[in-house]
Amino acid sequence: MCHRVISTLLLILLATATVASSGAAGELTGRDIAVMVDERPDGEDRKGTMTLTLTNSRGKTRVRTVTSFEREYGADTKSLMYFEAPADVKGTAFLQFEYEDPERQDDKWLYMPALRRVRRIAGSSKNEYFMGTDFTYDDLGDRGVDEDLYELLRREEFGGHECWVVEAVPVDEDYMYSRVVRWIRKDVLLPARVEFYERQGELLKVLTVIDVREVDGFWSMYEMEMENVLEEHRTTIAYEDLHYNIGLSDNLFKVSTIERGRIQ
Amino acid sequence: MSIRITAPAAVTATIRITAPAAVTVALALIISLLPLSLDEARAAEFDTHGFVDSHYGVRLGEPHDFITSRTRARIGSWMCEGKTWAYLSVNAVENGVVPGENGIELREAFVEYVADSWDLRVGRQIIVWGKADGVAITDIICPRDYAEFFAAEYDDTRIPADAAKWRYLGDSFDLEFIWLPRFIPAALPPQGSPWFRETEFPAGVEVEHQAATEPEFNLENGELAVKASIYTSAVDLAISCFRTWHDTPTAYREVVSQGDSVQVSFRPEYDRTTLYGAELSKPWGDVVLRAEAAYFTGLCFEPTDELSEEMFERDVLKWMLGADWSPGRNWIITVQFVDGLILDYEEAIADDEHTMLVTTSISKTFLRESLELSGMTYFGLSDNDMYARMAADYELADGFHISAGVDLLSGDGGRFGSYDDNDQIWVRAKYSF
Repeated sequence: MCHRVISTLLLILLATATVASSGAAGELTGRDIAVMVDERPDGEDRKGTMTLTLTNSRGKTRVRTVTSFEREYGADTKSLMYFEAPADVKGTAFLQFEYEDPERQDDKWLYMPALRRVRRIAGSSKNEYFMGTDFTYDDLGDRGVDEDLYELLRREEFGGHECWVVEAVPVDEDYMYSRVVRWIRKDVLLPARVEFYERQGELLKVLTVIDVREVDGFWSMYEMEMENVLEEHRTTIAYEDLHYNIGLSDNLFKVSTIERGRIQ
Repeated sequence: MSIRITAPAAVTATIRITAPAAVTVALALIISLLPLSLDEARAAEFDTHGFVDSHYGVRLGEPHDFITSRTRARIGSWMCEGKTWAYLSVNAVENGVVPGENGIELREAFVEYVADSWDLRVGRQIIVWGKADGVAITDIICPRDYAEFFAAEYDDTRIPADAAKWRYLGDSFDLEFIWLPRFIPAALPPQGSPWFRETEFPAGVEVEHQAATEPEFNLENGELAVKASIYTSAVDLAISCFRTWHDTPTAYREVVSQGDSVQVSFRPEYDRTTLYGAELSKPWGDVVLRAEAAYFTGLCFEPTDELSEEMFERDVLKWMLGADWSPGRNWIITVQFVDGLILDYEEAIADDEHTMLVTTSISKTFLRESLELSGMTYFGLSDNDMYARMAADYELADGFHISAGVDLLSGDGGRFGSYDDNDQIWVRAKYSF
């Protein structure tokens, strides 16, 4: 663990030094920053429980709780999401193998306790909303760096942190956002704020990162809020029990495990 | 091949109250896992959940009576100590329409040990096989409870089996062995239920129904299953074999003619059969292709002539080909084609040579997945009959759903057409905790 922390700090120092020198030479680009953010260390594996609170324009709230497990296998990732609440979906488990190769389709299996059965699922679209929240699967996951074109708009302070303001324009003109503007904190390489613009160019959603913590040597977004300004709906995600490099077993990421109707 | 509904009610009323050895062992092990002291209680992990739901349906036609009136409460709990898990669930049912359904029943009770490369689950449990939706091809490990037929959710109709299930767990390969020491028959609609139908006989025929003869509880009469599954990026595949009893009885008969009178005495018996199965799921863009097939040996079929004693033992091939399409925006569309083929068919067999079925399902969620509209149809191509359900489900609060819909059955005969007058409009409320 100590080794990991030192490695992480070295990486961040290296990134900062690179940024400082690039900045001095005027060579730092929006893509450079996107690559640094994408390659920010986040451990070999991680687990955490997230509580998603959905609030509509009338103030009515709905709460979903999901425990997630992830493990890296080289450039590929295996993940498992286990739904804890609300009670009618408790026990639902979603197993996914994500492949770095864009030509290769991700593998997905869903266990639904009412059916007592695992079924293979498809659907390559990552711009679907996750569990009725204001986050799409893309917002929550890793969007490939090459899927957008970047421009460093400016440097400015936001929420007391030095930030780069980077605009990302999707290569795919049919993508659900026309552009995304991120305020990237220089110290932790995490966003402080993100603005999502819909295809006609109007501001659709704003993500505000409320709480950033260092956990097991890795900087993590512990609490964030996504507000859909057009629909006056917002979703808060708060993490609990987040841990990195805990040695998650290969057995966790198997169809036979989710078939049991519980984790383990 | 079709579901027989002519057996007397006695066939259906036996399954809920007995506690055979496997369940007794499972219960004893569960009790042994229960914490005996406060310290043990703190150390043990419990996870309790359940639901209460009420479902009421009124017949669309005359006399507009209740065709569904059921309230259920279920509570289940996982307990864990080390690598050993136990699960216990209990059902309480109040049914105002189907006789014999009221009461409290032990639904599941099993103990499970999980090792690194294998696990073992012993006790009363639900085991699900197959890739087909709403149709049983290889999914026959657990017999079905048809007491409420289409008024019950299909996936709620499995009767938990007393079984020992051992699995070898490879990286992307599983091998499972199942032993069911005790035969459990399917539950058929009892007399007095809106889903009960009796075979009609020509005038002057005197009919006697004997109680069904169930296989004796001994080692030789146990059921054995084995299944191998692999999961790859390209395809999920499984092959299986199940030495079992057909869970609905064949109505063997004795026909006695004396002058102008004819007496038919039915002697229902359960037949031994072996299933050889195969399953497949293949993702393809936004579509998942599914296929499933089962070859059954030695199923017995009744004659077209009700007054004939001749029965026909035939092998049967059942198969399904289906596709799930998820085009996005919370749409899910499913289509399946199902066929059951009696091999070496002859006209004297009462069932059709082919029993073909097309099922469709379409659903979409709205209002941030709090409202779901869905439609589902079964078209019987052999009998030109149909079952359709249209429903709306709304999540009123976390874990609390209300839903309403209409079930339509039509046709002149066949599995769905027999219930042509059982169309209903229904409402349901379910609170999960």
